[in-house]
This record gives sequence, structure tokens and C-alpha cells, in this order.
Amino acid sequence: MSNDVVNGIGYLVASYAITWLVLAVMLARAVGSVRRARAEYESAAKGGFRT
Amino acid sequence: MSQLNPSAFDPPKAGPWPAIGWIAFPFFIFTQLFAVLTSPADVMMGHLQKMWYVHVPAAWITFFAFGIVLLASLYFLWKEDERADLLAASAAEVGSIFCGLTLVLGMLWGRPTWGVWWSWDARLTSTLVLFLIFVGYLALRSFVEDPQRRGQWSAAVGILGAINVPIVWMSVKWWRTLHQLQTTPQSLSPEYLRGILLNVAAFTLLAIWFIQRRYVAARYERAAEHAQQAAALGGNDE
Repeated sequence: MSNDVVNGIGYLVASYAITWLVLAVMLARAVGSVRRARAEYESAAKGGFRT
Repeated sequence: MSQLNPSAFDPPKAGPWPAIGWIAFPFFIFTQLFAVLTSPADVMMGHLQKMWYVHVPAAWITFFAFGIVLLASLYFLWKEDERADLLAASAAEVGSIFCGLTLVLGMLWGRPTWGVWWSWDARLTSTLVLFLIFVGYLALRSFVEDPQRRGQWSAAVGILGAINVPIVWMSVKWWRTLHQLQTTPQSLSPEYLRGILLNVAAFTLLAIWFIQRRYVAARYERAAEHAQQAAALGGNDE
């Protein structure tokens, strides 16, 4: 077992941190994009225009 | 004007899909904690083995999402239904993010276990090619304005990209690779298998929710475009 494997906790923590960060950004983006798109549609349906 | 089936011009109907998010996120947190806290350190890999609980599910979601791209693209070419094109694009976006994540997690695994961040072996290279095809797919969509042409061209690229999925899957069998063979239920002890299966299920729920949210946003965007065009033409829907 190499030292890197024995001391691999840093790589493990990094892998989970990156995964959770990516999922958090995707969550925020998913919620935000639906709200924004719905507002855009409602505005357009009432005869308004996008800014 | 576009000759597409006009079904995508209406806003999406509300359904039970948003509720999946309320289930998926708590379930994901539970499966991550459960897998990390209950699986023992591997004899060879130590605690690094626990990287499987994010790397393997991310790779699975890549295949799952690009499978949806394939089916939706074929349906679009068959029926010219723009909703299928929007679904394919939503799945491609989510799949590309998970494919990129798979590559990064693989590099974090490779450095301590293989001694290198990257190797041009068949599994890694074919996954990179898959990633680049779908980045190209998304770029293509942003360059083409006509919905019909955009749908047809991106469906062709999407199908081509999805054909790469079985090549990625089989690459470890077809060529000598640094990457290990596919993990199967027979090749894993139950304490590791349980964690992987639970996390695959949790990631699948998350991916379904992400794809569905992206699809809903795309439908609203398309409906807004159509409403604006109709308003500009004085209320003429054609």
C-alpha cells in the first residue's frame, strides 16, 4: 500500500466536497431556472417583453 | 416558420415531479452518510475505497442521462415533437455535468492509487471523448436558432454520442487498461455493494429531478418565445 493510499483521506474528502458542491450548484440552478423561465413566460403571455 | 409539432408551445403542466426532489435530497444525504460510516476500510485501498460511493453513481448517471438523450433524439426524428428535443437537451446538460464529475473523481482516485492524475488508457480516453461530444452538443444548440434545424442536428450528435456509451462500458474488456474491470455484485462484498446500490438509487432520483426541472424551464422558455412571436404577429399563432 503506497503512502498516497494510506494518506488518501485528503483525496477522499476532496471527492465528496466536489460532488456535494456540484450538486448544490445544480440544485440552485434548477430552482432558479424554473422560476426565471416561468416568470418570463407569464410576462410574455400577458403581452410583456423580456428585458 | 418551423414545421415542428406545436405541442411544445404550451407551458408545461404541473405534475408530481417536483415532489421527487423532496424525497431525493434527504435520501441522498442518508445514503452518503450510511455508506461512508458503515463500510469498513478496504485491505488494499484503505478509506479511499469510499470514493466509489460518488464515482460509480456519477458514472452510472452519465450513462443513464445519455440513454435518455438517445431515446428522446430518436423520438424527435421520428415524430418531430419538439418536447422530445427539449427533453434530450435537458438530459444532455445533466449528463455532461455528471460525466465531467466522473472524470474529476476518477483523477482524484488515480493519483493516490495509480500514481498519476491522468492516463490515456481506453476507459479514461473514451469517457473524455464522450464528455467532449456532449459539450459539443450543448455548444451546437446555442449556435443554431431555428428550432427544427437545431433539433435535427443535435439529435444526430446526441445519437452519435450515445453510441459511445457502450464503447466506454466495454473498453475495460476490449483493451488492456489501467482502469479496473466493471464492478459487479459478484465481485464485491455485501458491505460495499449495499453502499453502492443505495447511492446509485439516490443519484438516479436526483438526476431524474434535475432533468425534469431543466425540461420544465426549457418548456417555459419555449412557450415564452412563442407567446412573444404571437404577440409580435398581432395574435396570429401561425
